[in-house]
This record gives sequence, C-alpha cells and structure tokens, in this order.
Amino acid sequence: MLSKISSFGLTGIKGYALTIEADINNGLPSFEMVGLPDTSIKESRERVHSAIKNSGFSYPMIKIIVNMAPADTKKEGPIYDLPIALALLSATGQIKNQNLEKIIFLGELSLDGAIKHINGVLPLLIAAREMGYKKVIIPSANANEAGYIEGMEIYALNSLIEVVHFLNKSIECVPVKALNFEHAKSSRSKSNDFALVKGQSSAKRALEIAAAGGHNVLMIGPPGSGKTMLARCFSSILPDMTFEEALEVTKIHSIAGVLDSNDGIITERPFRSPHHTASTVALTGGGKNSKPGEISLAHNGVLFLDEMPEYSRHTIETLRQPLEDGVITVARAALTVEYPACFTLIASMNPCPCGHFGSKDRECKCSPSQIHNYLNKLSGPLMDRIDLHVEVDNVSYDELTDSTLAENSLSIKQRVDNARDIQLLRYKSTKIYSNSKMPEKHIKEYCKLDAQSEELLKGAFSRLSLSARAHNRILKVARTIADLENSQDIKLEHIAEAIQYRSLDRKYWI
Amino acid sequence: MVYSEQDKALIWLNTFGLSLKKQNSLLAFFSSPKDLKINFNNYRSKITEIVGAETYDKISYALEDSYLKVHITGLERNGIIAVTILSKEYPSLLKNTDSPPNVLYCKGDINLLNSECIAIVGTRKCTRYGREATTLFANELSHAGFTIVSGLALGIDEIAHETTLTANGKTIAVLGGGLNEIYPALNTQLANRIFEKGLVISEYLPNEKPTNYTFPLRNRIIAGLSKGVLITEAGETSGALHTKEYANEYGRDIFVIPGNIFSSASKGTNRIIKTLQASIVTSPDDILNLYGKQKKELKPEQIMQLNFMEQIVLNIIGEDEVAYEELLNKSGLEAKKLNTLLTTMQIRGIIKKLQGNIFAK
Repeated sequence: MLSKISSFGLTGIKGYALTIEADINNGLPSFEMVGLPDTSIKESRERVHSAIKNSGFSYPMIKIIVNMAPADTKKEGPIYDLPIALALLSATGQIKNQNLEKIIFLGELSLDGAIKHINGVLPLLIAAREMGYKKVIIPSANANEAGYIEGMEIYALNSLIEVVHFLNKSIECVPVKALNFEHAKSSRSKSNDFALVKGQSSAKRALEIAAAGGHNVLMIGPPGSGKTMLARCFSSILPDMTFEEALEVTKIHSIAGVLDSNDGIITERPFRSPHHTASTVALTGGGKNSKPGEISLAHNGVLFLDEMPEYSRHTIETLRQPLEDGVITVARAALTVEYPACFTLIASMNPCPCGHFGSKDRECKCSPSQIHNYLNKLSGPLMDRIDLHVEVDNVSYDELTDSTLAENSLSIKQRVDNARDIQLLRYKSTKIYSNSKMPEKHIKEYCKLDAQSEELLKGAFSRLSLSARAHNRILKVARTIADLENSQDIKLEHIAEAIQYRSLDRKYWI
Repeated sequence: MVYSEQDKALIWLNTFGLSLKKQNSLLAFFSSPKDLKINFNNYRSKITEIVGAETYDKISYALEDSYLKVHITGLERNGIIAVTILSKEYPSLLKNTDSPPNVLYCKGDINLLNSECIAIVGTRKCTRYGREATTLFANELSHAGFTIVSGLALGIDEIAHETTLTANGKTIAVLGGGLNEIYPALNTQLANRIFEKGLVISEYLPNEKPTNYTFPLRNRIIAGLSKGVLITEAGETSGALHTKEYANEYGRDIFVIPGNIFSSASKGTNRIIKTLQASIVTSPDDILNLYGKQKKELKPEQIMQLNFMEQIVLNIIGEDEVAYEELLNKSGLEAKKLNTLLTTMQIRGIIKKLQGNIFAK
C-alpha cells in the first residue's frame, strides 16, 4: 500500500515542500530509500525501525521503498525521521487518518520513540505558512520558537505514540500557545549597561552616535582600557528590533543551530565576537551546506572584531562587500545562498603591537616599522567603511573606584531611538534607513552646510591634515549628530564634533 | 651640467666601487685625476699593488670615453648631478674634513651645498617629546635661514625634513645608499618632495644598496656639511651618537636637548650632557644667538579672541599635556560640547592634539 506524508526542507534560509512516500511490496524484507538522502537520512532507517518497535507498533518485515520528492534536491539532516516513520505506519494501516497530506511533520526520533529537538524550525514554518499549509506537528522542544508564528495550527508533541494517537483522534492535543513578542522582549533583562563603564566619555559619545546613525566604529587604545566592555554595552543602546527583524535574526540562528531552545525568539540584537583566529569561511559562511557565518549571525546586530589587526588580512578584507551591500552570497558546489548580513561593525585595536604607542605614562617598545606594519594591516578600502575612529584612554585609578554611576543605557537609548525615528522619516521613500548608508546624491541634499561650517571643514582639512576620503564620512556623522540634537540643519558644532572622530586620518598615526 | 675633464676623471674613477682610501692613494700617485686616466696603462705594477689585479683589469677595459659617456648619460637621465671635490659647488666645510668623498651624487637644488647648514639628528624610535622638540627647532632654525641637514631615516630625521618642507625651508637629506635606493622605502614620498624642494645627496653610486656600515659612514657627511649638529633625542645606541663623534672630530658645534631621565629614548642625549660633550639648548634662540641670527618674526602675534569656554579649556591645559578625560572632568562640560570646542580650537591653532587623545598648547 502507498502512503504520502508532507514535510519541509531548507536550502539556505528558503524552505521548500517535500513529500515522503512509502510503498510496501511483497518480497524479502528490505528498506530502500531514494530521492538523494544524505547519510544522516539513510541512518534514519535504523532509528525509525527501533522507534516503531519500541513504541509498540509493528514494523513491516517486507520490502519497503521510501521516496523523497522532489527527487533532484539533496536532503539532509535527521528532521525526516518522524515523517518517514509515519509514512510506514500509514502504509501498513496503523494510522487510520487518510488526510495526512495537509499536515507538515518535522522531527528527529530517538530509539525509544521520543521526538527530539531539531534546527531551523522557524524558517521551515515560515516557508510552510507562505505555501498555505495550516497544520504542523513539530517536536515539543521547538515549541518556543513556533509560538511566534501566527495563523497556523502548530502541535508540539513528545513522542511517536502521541503523534499516532493524535492522528487517530484517540487523544486531544492543544495547539502551541501563541507567544507575545512584546512580552518576550520585556521579560529579558539587558546584561550590560553603560552605567557600569567608568570614564571613557568620548568613546561612549561616539558609540551613541554610531548607534543612532548605524555607523561603524573603530576604537583604538592601550590594552585594558575597556574597549571590549564598551563594545559589549553597545547593543544595549541600539533601538529595539521589530518583530520582523527578530524573526529574520531567529531564522538565521535557527539554521546555524545556535539558537537556545529556551529562547524561542531572539529579542535582543545579536552581539557576535568571533575570535581573531576565525577563518574566512567562519566569518562569511560556507562549508558543504553553505551555512551562515558570523557576519550573518550578526545580522541586525553588532559584529565585534577585537584586536582587528590580528585577524588574517584576507579574512577582514572579505567584510568589504557585505559592509556595503548588507548581504553575503555564499556560493558552493551544492547550492548558492544569499544570507542577510546587515550589521554594525565595531572594531578595536591597539595603536601598536605592544599597545602603548602614544600613551602618556608608558613607554612604547615597538620599532617604527613594526608600528607601521601593524597599522597598515587595515586596508584603505576597509577603513573607508568605518565612519568613526575613537581613541580610548587608559582609565585612571580614581575613575575606576569612583562609585557614582554614569548615564545608563536606557536614557542614551531614548536619544538613539529618537534619532532613528527622524532618519526613518527622512528616508521613507528610499531603501535606506540610516545615515551611514546615505548615498552620494543624498549627501548633497541632506548634508547642506552653511558658509560658516563650510569654512570650518575647509580649515580642518588644511590645518589637521585630514585625508580627502574623510570628507563624506564627516558629513554623514555630522548629520547623525544633528539628528541626535533634533536639529533640522547641520550646525557648526555638529561638524566640529564630527571632525573629532577622524583621528586615524590624521598624520600623526605615522 | 657641464663637467670639466678633471671632474669627469673623478666621476669615472668613482664608478668602480673602489674604497675612498684606494681612490685617494691612486690619486696621490698621479698629478691629477685626468693624469691618472690618461696614464693608467703605463703604471700597471704600481696600480695593481693598490687595487689588485682583478680590479686593474676591470678598470683597464673601461678606459674609453664611451664608457664614461654612458655613465654620465645614465646620471642625467635620473636627474642626478655629480659634484666632485674639485668643483666649486662642492661644500667647502665638508672639503676640509679628513675624508671627504670625491664625488657627491646630488639630486635637487645643488646651491644648498654651500648654504649655512645645521644638522638635526636623533633616534628612529622617537617619543612624543622628541617629535615636539624636533618640530620646534626645525621650524625656527629653517625660518632663520638655516638649511636643515638630516639622514632621511624614520623618526627624528623624517620629522626634521618634514617640518622644514612644510615651513618652506631648505633641507638636505644625506643617504646611506644610492639615490635610486631610498631607504627606508616608507620615506620614498618624502624623498620625492625633497628632490623637488630641497636636495638629496649620497656618496654612493645611484644603484648601490645601503648596508649596515654605510649608515655610520654617511653620518660623517652630515656632520661635515654642517656648522652645528643638534641632537634632539637619542637612545643609548642611536646612530645619532656617531654623528656626534664626527662632529666632535671636525670641531663642529654640538647641541643637545636634555631629555626625561626616565625615558630610554633620552639616555644617549643625557649621557652626552653628563660627559659635557655638547652645549645644552632649550630653545631655538640658544642656537640663533650663538650664530648671531635674528629670530624671524613669522607674523605679528595674533591676539586670539577666546570665548569664555575656550579660555577655561586653555587654562586647564596651561603649559602641560592634558588627557581628554581630565579636561572633561575639570571643565565640567558634556562630551559633545567639549568635542566641538576642541575641534574648533585645534582648527584655530590654539591647541593641538597629540597621540592618545592628549591635548597641549
């Protein structure tokens, strides 16, 4: 007898519908699986056998053929254990319900028949919803993720027996309770807060501007000056993610398998800090299955590269295109996937290999060529994409032991939110949403300077020996500063402050 | 450039890579360089004794005029002028030292060779202090009309050249290798600017690579060219100390800027002071007064109109170097206000920013 069960598969972050057919014929006992399954699926024959047996059902000891259609797409992962088992049970008449094709089944089986957690539920469900499926059965461990999908009847079940009884209508199950995104957002506390960062007012201000305008930041300072701490606090002043953004982030994390099953949906902007030994593929994504890399995991959040010059040159240079386009195309033999990669880059570095170049009270032990080589590891084109350079000083003992709290993240965030609203309004007819992405033609339109400011900027170039590439950067940052101040025009003080954040362009950095 | 026959003979002799000592013993044997070239084959045994048989053969093959012509055309093509010890352009101060090079390869304005020169030398690993001191002295001395001589190395040398060029002063760079082999390569751009606005000289053939013993040797030219040598910052093993030795030998005035006793970059200069080998200078005026030069007033001192906040910031900075955070605390300003203020003050030239977010007047 023939049976058909529906399931879903993923290529990249896009889902496709999959039919699993099982046919039982007379002949010697055998189990044949066709339709380009990978090893983990071929192994599911053993899991399915044990699971059916240990759940108290009978496993047909005759010739079994399982086909996974479409037959020309490679399938992978253990998520088809449950649909395969159900196809067998349906083909042998152990499931009475004949109306199975309208239901999507996903789940990995353990030998005792329990259904285990799987990766990538969210993108699978979103794709299924788009294709008009209404009813889904998933592992109970994935219930939290699924709760955020509206308009679907989702059942999160524990075991194969439970599924069969449910299909045979011998037990009643309640669909997964819809979860409220706003609620999830408020229930989680922010871990890092700017109130805990002592001193560093200049760097804090720069990060505030970066958050408000979506600018990339480079922090330069001696070791132990708090660069990492500042970066970790950065996500606490970023505007909250909208539900759509959160869903996008969760999708990527779900595919990569780094989603905490207790979380369900990611509400806080991601903060990724790959170690500097990270390979190019780890950063951009790739591998046999074109998995998303760190930059995609940092989508809508922050990518923090600590000790930037320590990364291999080739690895950091690959960031250039995603920084510009906000997406990365990972092409591998099997498939080509486009992952979103729209992140704020925060980089930190020491001014020289020993870290004390330019320090007021420590002597630098590096030779000039060492310093030059160190600073030169960051190429011009990459530096072009970083709007703000801040020098972070050593914190003095008095500052460290000062018990008064600085301004907390929440009040900074309010200013940031306000500035973002202004930008959204300004760019509502275009595809961009923040000042940092402003193209040339908009710079002319939105960054008009009065004569006095023009004079100041001109003076800055000759007097402070700024490089020409700084010009547009300064204008964009000045625009963000003006937005933070709720000012329609860019005023003299805004331009003046923006110039302050271009220290690497200045000559004294060798 | 038109070379006399004597000049040509010296240039010719200099192409074989002979040491200065050997060149001079050859020249001492003949009445003139030209004589050497004409009678080269007549004194085989004597010459072989000095330079060895192999070199003798090599030179004897190059006696034709065409060989020299090719060489001189090559120099001209590269814009290089060879100034020989016999020509009137040759710096007279250098000529009177014990081992002046016979030929100086020059690129740039050769009139500078006989101008009044002061050498500014120092460590490659300079600190902010050395940088500031060098800038101050190079600026004032070049404004007073001195030509600033240095060695185109990183650090102090580079700053001395750079400052002089920016101040539209005259500068001479003495290389430790050929004129086509700028070392360190980092300073190639600086060298190009000096070709245009100053002078770069070397005693080595244009394509000769510098080696670790050529650098100390070129220091004798730096000392030889100059009336006085100023060491702004030097560590214990700095090459600037060689220059000082040569200057001492040639009876040049040696000036040294005292340094921080805790800084390893000032160990060399401080030792010079301790052993009383140089005059201590703490202001460019000390040097200018010695040579009877008038300090050139650049512009009448502008009376800056400072607003209230600017005055406060300036008072906090005083004569010191002040970190950003300290400024912020003492002035009680918000970071954004202070940033704005600092930029405008920098652009107006009231204060300057130093490495590591430190501000000074």
